[in-house]
Parts: sequence; structure tokens; C-alpha cells
Amino acid sequence: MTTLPPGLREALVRESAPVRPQLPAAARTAVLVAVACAAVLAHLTIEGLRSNAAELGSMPMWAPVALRVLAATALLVLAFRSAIPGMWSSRPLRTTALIGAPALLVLLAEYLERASGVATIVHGAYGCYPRELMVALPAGLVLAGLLARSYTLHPVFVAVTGTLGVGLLADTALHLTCPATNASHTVFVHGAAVATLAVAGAAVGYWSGRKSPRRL
Amino acid sequence: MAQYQAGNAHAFEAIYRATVKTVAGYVSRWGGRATDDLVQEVYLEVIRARRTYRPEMPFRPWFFAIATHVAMNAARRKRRKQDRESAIEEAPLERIAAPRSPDLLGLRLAEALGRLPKDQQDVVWLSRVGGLTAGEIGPVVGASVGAVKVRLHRAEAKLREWLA
Repeated sequence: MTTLPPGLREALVRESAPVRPQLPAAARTAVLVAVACAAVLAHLTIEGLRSNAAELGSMPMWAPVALRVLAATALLVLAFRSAIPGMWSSRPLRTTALIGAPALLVLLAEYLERASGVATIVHGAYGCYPRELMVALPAGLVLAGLLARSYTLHPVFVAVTGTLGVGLLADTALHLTCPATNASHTVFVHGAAVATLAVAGAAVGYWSGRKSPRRL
Repeated sequence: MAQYQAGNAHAFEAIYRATVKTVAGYVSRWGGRATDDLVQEVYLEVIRARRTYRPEMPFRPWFFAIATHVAMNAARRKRRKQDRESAIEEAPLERIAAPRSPDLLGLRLAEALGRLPKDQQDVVWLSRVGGLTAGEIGPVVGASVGAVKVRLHRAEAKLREWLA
């Protein structure tokens, strides 16, 4: 049994061209974060900084940005690592990632409302939802492209974690531009966009797993 | 593996020769008459996944993660086919039947293994048949090193009790 069977030998002949190993998870994360940051900057240029930025102060303005970017980076690294066979993370880590992302959004929303003192309600602000999805689109497409070239054994988890990361980065844009400070708007409108991305990721991950159990 | 990525087909043949007996023993856990086909499918998937291996990674967790996935998918396809064909009760026994390499495990040991919880079965097979360390098993099954050691310890205690 130590000689290659004919079928395997044919496959080896077909697939013997040199290949470059895919980029490490950290490098792929860096690419994605760069694309997402470009989209955030573009949105900020178009919409302008939120009108109450000066009243909020530095900490409520920039600490949530830093936390979102850090959390998103961690989620994306986890997603890209988990997409590699033999790099499956422990259940506590996976659970923390999936629960931590939405929990962070809620906590930051509460923090912003308290920090602002007075909840600023913006009428007709449901436009934030499609805007956040548009900001997420470039990074979402890059994520899909990078994962499509992977050999993912856990496509649903990888897709959900990745899209949560992309969603958090896109949420940064809306934090910088939307003047609303009431937590319900941040959670149920901005948060809904992040949730939509995660659900879409889960659906794509599930579908790709069914079609080809190993690839996203 | 790095040499195979660089285009050296002989390197893949060396991997095959070095691992095929272990893989055959390992995938026999999921049984079936087509174990040789299953072994070949594992290596076909290794070929398809070759871009995802990075030289700084340990090889065995990567390799056995693919082998596990291929074998589990094949077992699921087989179960679905049996459910559709309303297979007779003899079929379920094949899932925990003796491995095709009887020099590896006796029938009694295989039956005892089949009684273990799935997470303990996974670590026992990877450790005792695949030859992986606890540190290598963790990333394959998605558990910490400590959790793997606990599962192994509990599994072996149960096996000793049942086989005594």
C-alpha cells in the first residue's frame, strides 16, 4: 500500500505545480483592516465628523473607535486562523468571540449615551442601516475573496467571525459620523447592520459548507 | 510538505509512504468497506489543500484535521444513504466496527472505544492511532491542551475499567 494508487498518482501529476503558501492570518487581517479603514475614511470624508464631536470630548469619541478596531482585528485574526486546518480554537475562545462582539456594541452604546449626558435623538435616522452596510461592502468582498481561497473546515464559524469583524470596523464609520447618542439607535439601527452581516455570513458559510464541505 | 508546495512531487510520495498506514488505521474508525477509497480521498484533499499549509506550522495537526474532516463527511454521507435506503440494523454496527487493521486494536477494544463519548473517542484515536501529542490534538478538535489531557485520562480510565 506504500505505492501511490493510480487515481492519486494522476491527481499528483495534475497538481504538481509549485504553489505559494497562503498569507498568514495576521497578514490577511492587515490587508482587510486596511481596506476597511479606507472605506471608513471615505465615509468620513463624504459625511463629515459628527456634529456633536466637540461636546462629547476625546474619550467618548475615540475610545470606542480604538476598542472597535482592536476587537475587529482580534475577530479577523481568529477567523483567518480558524480557516486553516489544524488551527481550530478552543470552545471558550469561540464562545467569547461570538458573544463578545455584540456585547461590546451594546456596552459602547450605553457608554456613549451616558458620556453624552443628553441622548441626542436624530429623526429619520434609519438611513444609518444601509449606510453602514455600504461601508462594510468593500471589506466584506475582500473577506469573501480571501476565505474562498482557503480550505475551511468550519465555514459557518469562520464566516460569522469574519463578518462580525468587518461589521465592527464599518460600525466605526457610523460612530464617527452619526450624531445620535441614544443607545437604542446605536444598538438597534447600527447594530442591526452588524447583525445583518453576521447572518449573511452564517448563511454563506452554511451554503458553501453544504456545497463543498471544506471550502468557503 | 514545504518541498511538495515548491513543486517536488517526490516529497508528496514520501509523505504518503510515511503516513498511509497510520491514516488507514485512523480512518478505519469510521469504518466501511471503502476504507481504501477513504484513505485515497484523504490524500486527494491534502493535495487540494496544500496552499493552506505554512512551513512554520506543525504538520500533523494540519494533516489529521483534513483526515478527520474527510472521514466524518464520508461517514455522514453513508449514514444519509443508509437512512434513505432504510438499511437494516446490521449497518449501524459498522460505524463502530473493528478497524480494518486488526493488528492495531482488538474487536473488544474497538467496541469499548465506541462506548466512549465522542469527544473522548476523538482524542483517543488521534493520540493512540494518529500518534499526536496533546498539544497537537487541541487545534484539531478545538480544545485546550488541558482539556485534551483530561479527556484522554478519563477515556483511558473507562477503557481500563471496561476491559479489565
